[in-house]
Amino acid sequence: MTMFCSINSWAQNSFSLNGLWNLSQKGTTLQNTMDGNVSNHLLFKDWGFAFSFGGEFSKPLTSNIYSLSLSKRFGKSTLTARYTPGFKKEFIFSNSNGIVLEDSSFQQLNSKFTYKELLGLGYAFSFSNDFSLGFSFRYFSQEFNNQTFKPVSFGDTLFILEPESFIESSNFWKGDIGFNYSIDDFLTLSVASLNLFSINEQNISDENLQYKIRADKGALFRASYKPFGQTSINLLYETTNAFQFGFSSLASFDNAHIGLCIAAQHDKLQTPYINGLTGSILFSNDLWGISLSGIKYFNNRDKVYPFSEFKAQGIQNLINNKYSLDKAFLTITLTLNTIQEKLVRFLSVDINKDIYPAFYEAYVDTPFALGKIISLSDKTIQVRPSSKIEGINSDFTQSPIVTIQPKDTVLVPFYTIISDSYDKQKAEIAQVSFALTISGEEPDDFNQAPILINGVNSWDGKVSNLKYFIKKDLGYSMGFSKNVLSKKKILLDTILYSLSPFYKAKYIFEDFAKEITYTSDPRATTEYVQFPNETIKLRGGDCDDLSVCYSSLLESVGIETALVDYKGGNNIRHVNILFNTNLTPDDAKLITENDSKYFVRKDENGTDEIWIPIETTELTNFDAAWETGAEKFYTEAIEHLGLAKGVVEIIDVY
Amino acid sequence: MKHLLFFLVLASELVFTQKCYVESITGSVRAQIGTNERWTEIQEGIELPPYSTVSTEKNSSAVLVKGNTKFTLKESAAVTVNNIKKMSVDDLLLALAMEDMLNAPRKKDDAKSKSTQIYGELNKEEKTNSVSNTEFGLMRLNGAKQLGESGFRESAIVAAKETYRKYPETKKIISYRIYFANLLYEKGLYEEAYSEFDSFKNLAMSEKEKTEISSKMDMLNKKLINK
Repeated sequence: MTMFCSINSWAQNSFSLNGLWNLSQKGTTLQNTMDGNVSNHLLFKDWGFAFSFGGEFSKPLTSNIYSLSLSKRFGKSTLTARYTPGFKKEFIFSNSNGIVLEDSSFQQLNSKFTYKELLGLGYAFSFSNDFSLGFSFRYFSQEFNNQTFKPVSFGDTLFILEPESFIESSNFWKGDIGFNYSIDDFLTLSVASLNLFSINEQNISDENLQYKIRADKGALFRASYKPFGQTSINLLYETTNAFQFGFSSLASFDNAHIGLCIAAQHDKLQTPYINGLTGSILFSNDLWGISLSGIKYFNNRDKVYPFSEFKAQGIQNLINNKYSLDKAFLTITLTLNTIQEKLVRFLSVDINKDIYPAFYEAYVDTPFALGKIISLSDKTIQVRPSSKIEGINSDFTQSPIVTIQPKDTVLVPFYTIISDSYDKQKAEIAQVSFALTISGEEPDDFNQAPILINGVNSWDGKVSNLKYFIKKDLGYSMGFSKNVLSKKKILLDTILYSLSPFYKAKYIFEDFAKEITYTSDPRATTEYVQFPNETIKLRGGDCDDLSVCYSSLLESVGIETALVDYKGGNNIRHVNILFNTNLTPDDAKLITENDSKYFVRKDENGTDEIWIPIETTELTNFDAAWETGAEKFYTEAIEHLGLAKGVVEIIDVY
Repeated sequence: MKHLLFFLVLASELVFTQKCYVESITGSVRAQIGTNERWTEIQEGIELPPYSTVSTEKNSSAVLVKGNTKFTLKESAAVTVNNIKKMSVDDLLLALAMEDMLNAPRKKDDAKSKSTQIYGELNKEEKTNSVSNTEFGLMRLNGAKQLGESGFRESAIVAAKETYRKYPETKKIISYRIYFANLLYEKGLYEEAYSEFDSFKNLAMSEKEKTEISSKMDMLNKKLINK
C-alpha cells in the first residue's frame, strides 16, 4: 500500500502556535495557547481575544484561519473557549486493491482518514498571584472513510461492482489538568497531565480502531527561569514523546513590549533528534498584541512514508508530527480591560486601637489602623486609602493620599469620622473594610478586619482623652452656665472686668456643687465617663465625671481649663482641674493673699497667667474646692516634683 | 532593689512630712497656715503645718526647727516651711527642669473657638488697681537667700525660681539673681549657671555687677569647654 499525505493542519498538545514563552511573563500573547498551557494561566484582567492565521509551506502554499479564542476573567477564575477550524489533518491512502474497467483503466480504492480538533474549553482558578490551577477540555473528531466494491445484481447471474464508501466516526472530549506556580520572581513551574481522560468516544470497528488518535497517558513539565532582566530560559518536557527548550526575552518601554523567543524541539517519532526550531517575535501593549511565529523542520518533509509505518505508529497528536511541514503564523490578540488593573495591594492591616465613639474628634487626625501596602506598578503612584466601619460609617471615609514609589512597600494610616450623634451604650465587634484606590471609583484592593467599638460612655483610662467628653456637650454646658451667669449679672457687672473669669468660675461652681453629689463609678470594672449633661441630670458622678462636667461648664463660657492627672501609684488615680483666671501674677492679690493657692503658667505669647486648682469632688463650696485643689496640687505637682517626674500631668482641654 | 526603693520612698515621705515648730521669735513674726488666707501672729513653740508660710517684719526673726535642722528666718523675709529641707542635686536638677517646663509658653490650639460671651468689650483694657506683690516677692527672695546662707542651697535655688515665677518683678533685682546664679555655680551646675548669667543681659546693673558677671561667664565658658 502506498500512502499520499495531504496535510491541511497541524497541532500538538505541548506545542503553542505562538512559540515557547515564559507563562508568567507579562507582555506575551498567550491567549491561543491551550495546547501547551493546560492550566490556562493567562495574565489579562478581563476579556481576551486571539486570532491566529497561518500558512504552511506546501505545494501549493496553503493558508487558513487556525484558531479563534475568547477568554474572560471573573475575579479569580478565567474561562476560555477556543474554536480551531484550522486544526485538522487528513490522510488519503490509495489501496492496491482495484478492478480493471472496460476501457482497460484501473479503478483504485481509497481510504481517507480525517482528524480534527474542533474546539476547546478551559478554566483556571488563581489561588494567588503565584499559583493557579486549571483544566482544559478539547473536542476531537475522527472520521474513517474506507472505499469497497459493492456488487450490484442485474438479473440472477449478472453482477457489476460499484465503489462504495464505508464511513465510521469517533468523536470525543479529551480532558487534562495542570497547575502553574511562580516560586519567586525568577522561577516558574507548570505541571499538567497529558491525555488524562477522554469521554463520549464512540465504538468503531476493529479495522479502524488501530488508526484512531493515540492517546498515551503522560505528563507535561514546564519550567521557566529568569536569570536576569526579562530574559527567560524555558524548558518543556513531555513524558510521552517530546521536549522543547529555548529562551524568550522581552524589552519593555512605557506600557509596550517587544519580544523574541526561540526554541528547539525533539519528538521521538521524528528525525533528526532535534527535529526543528520554533521562533516568534511579538509586539504588545496593554490593549493589543501581534506576533509572528514559525516552525522550521530540519529534515526533508516531502518524503512519502509507507502505510505500514503509519499503521504501526499511528498519530499521537495533530500538532507536531513527522508529516508536518514548515509553517508561519500571524497571531493578533486583543485585550479589553473593563476592570481596572490592580496597581496596589494590601500586605496586612493592623488595628491600632479600639474605637471609642466619645473620642470622635481624635480619629480625624489620629489613625485607628495602619495598612502595609505594596505598589505593583512600575511607576510612582498615588493611593487613596479609605475605610468603612460597620455601624459607624455609612460610606467609605477617605484618608490622606499617599505617594508610593515603584514596587515600594509603605505603611498607610487610616482615619475615620465618627458622628457625634453616635449613642450606642454597649460595646460591639464590627467589621472594618479597607480599600485602596488609584483612580476612578473602583478600588484596587480590599481588606477586612474586626474592630471593637466601645459604648459611647467608654473611656480608655487616659486622662488626656477626657477632653473629648468635655467638648462634646459644650452646647448643653453653655446653656447651664449662661443660665447661672444671667442670675449673677448684676454682681458681674460691678466687679473689675479682669476678675470676671474668676467670679464666673466661682458662681458656676457654687451652682453646680449645689446640685451634685460625689458618687463612685457605677461600673467599677470598666472605664465609664458621663457626659456633662448626664452628670447634671443624674446629679452625681466620680472625679472624672465631675472634672469633665465643671471643665465643660467653664469652657462653654470661654474660661480656659486644664485637667490635672494625678497618676499616683497602685492604680489609684485622680483627676481635678485648673482654670485660667486670666489674671497676671501682679493681680494675684485681688483674689488671694496666699501664693500657694495659685499656679503661674505662661500663655502662648509668654505672658504669665494665674491658674487655680479646683478639686471638683469637694462640693462644699468654691473656696473649699479651691483650697483642697491647691493643697493637692502644691504637694504633689510642685513640692514632690510630680510635674517633673511625670507623676502629675497637666492636660490642656484646648 | 525593691527594699531600697521602698526605703527611699519612705525616707522622702518622712522629709516632706517632718513637723516644724517655732523655737524662738524676735519682733513680729506672722504665718499663713496651709491655704488659709489670713496671716496670724505666731508664738514660740507653735507647730506649723507643712504648707505654712512664715514671714518676718523689719528687725524681727524666727528660729524654726524641722527634724534635726534649725533655720533662722531673719528680718523682712518669708519662707514656706516645706522649703526648709536638704535636697539632692538630682532633685534640684528635676526642679530646674520643671521650672523650664513651666516657663515654656503653652502651645496654642488653633482649633479653639473664641468665646463671644464678653461682658463689655470696652472694659477689656480696664486697668486694675492691683496691689503690688513685689514687696512680698522680695521677702520671699530674702527667705530663699537665707536658706542658701544656712546651707539649704538647693532649696534656696528652688524657692528663688518659684518666687521669680510668681513675682516676675523680682526678676529685675540683679543682686539676688547673681546670688542664686552663683549658688548654681557652686553646685557645679555650670550649664545652668551660665544660662542664668546669660539671661541677665537686658537687666539694669552697675559696672561692678557687669564685671562680675562677665568674669563669671568667662570662667564658666572655660569650664564648659574643658568639660
